[in-house]
Amino acid sequence: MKNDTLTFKVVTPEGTIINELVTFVKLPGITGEMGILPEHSPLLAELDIGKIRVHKANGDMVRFFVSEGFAQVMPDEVMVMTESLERAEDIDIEKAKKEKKEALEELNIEDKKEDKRKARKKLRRSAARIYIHSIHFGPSHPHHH
Amino acid sequence: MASVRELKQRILSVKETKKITQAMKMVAAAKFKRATIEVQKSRDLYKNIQSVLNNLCARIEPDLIPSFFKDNKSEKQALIIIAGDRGLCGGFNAAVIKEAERFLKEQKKPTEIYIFGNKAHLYFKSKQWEIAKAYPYFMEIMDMEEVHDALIPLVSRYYQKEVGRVWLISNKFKTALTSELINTQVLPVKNYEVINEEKKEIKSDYIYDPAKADVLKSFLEYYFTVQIFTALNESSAGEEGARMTAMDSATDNAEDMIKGLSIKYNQSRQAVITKELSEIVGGAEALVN
Repeated sequence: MKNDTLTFKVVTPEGTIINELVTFVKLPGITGEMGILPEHSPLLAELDIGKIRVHKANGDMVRFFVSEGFAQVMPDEVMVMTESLERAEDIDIEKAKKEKKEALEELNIEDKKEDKRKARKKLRRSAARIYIHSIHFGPSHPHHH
Repeated sequence: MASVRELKQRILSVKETKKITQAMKMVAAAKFKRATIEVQKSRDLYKNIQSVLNNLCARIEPDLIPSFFKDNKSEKQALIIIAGDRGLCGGFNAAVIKEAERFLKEQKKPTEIYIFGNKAHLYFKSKQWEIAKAYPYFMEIMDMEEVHDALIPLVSRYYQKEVGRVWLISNKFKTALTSELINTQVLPVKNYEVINEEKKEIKSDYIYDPAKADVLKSFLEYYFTVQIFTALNESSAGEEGARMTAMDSATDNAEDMIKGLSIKYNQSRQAVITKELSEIVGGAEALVN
């Protein structure tokens, strides 16, 4: 019998933070987005900073911000391994805006190589958070609640 | 016998010490609680990453074995030592230092060392072995990214075949009373050989995204980072547990000392009174006679 669900599991330094049944997962691969349905072939992918979209078994759709990592896909499970994963509605938009501003300032200063690498990452992370927040709430409603 | 005044002073000073050890025990208990939570979380992460690693080892086709799985035959090797930053935690740091020194003396190949924690750094900096990198007080800034960055020098030397085998000596947390001393090879990653020796069924290799070589390289670096991240958390929990236990028994010892000194104090005070009384009685008798 063909399965129509798979487990979506997320592990971070905070332990297993998500473990639930879903019907579809969209991952931000390094070379582009990839959609995963149940019964997918085993896959090991490196993830970029970006958005994960999940369709839950009850029909709800959930969006997440992910800060790089890996995903192991098995026919019955997608396991995301990352440093941090945030639900779109939990993104601290003010913090993200502040970090984006800081990162841009850091990138404008002439400094050592290593600092730039960190600043670029910070910029990409904050920009992704702002983007995911805006598609979740709409760009005109930056302040939820 | 010490004078009554001296004894009184000693009692007061032991009481002060007891206050300090008691406070340190409370602080260590709070840190210990936090550290045990971190340990549980990173054990969970490590267990999951390890399951992916084992899947990978069972599936990977031998056309492309990543260098983290292969012995690079280097003439040099490396040792990672993880110990604490502070003392007053019983034999916690000494156990790691002693084992590391024993191990280093036994090695025939030159071994460079990478040290996490202030205590082991203080000890080894005056010894004959080359310290490639030292990260004292690392736990104060520790997260995955910091661990990853701290391991870059070692990992690149491994890729360049400037070091071959890499070992880890550290304490693994068990209970507040005990830590288990670990001495294990971390590079090359042994799982591949182990799994392929007992391989029963052939599973098809993963699809990789992006290219296989890139994914394997970064995933194995990530695995190594998680392994050291977990080892650091294990050590930290063990250290706080050891400190809590050490401060608890120091408080008990202070308590015992206070009791002992109080008995002596009372005895010598009694002796003084008795002596004074007998002198008075003696004096009075002399007057009567």
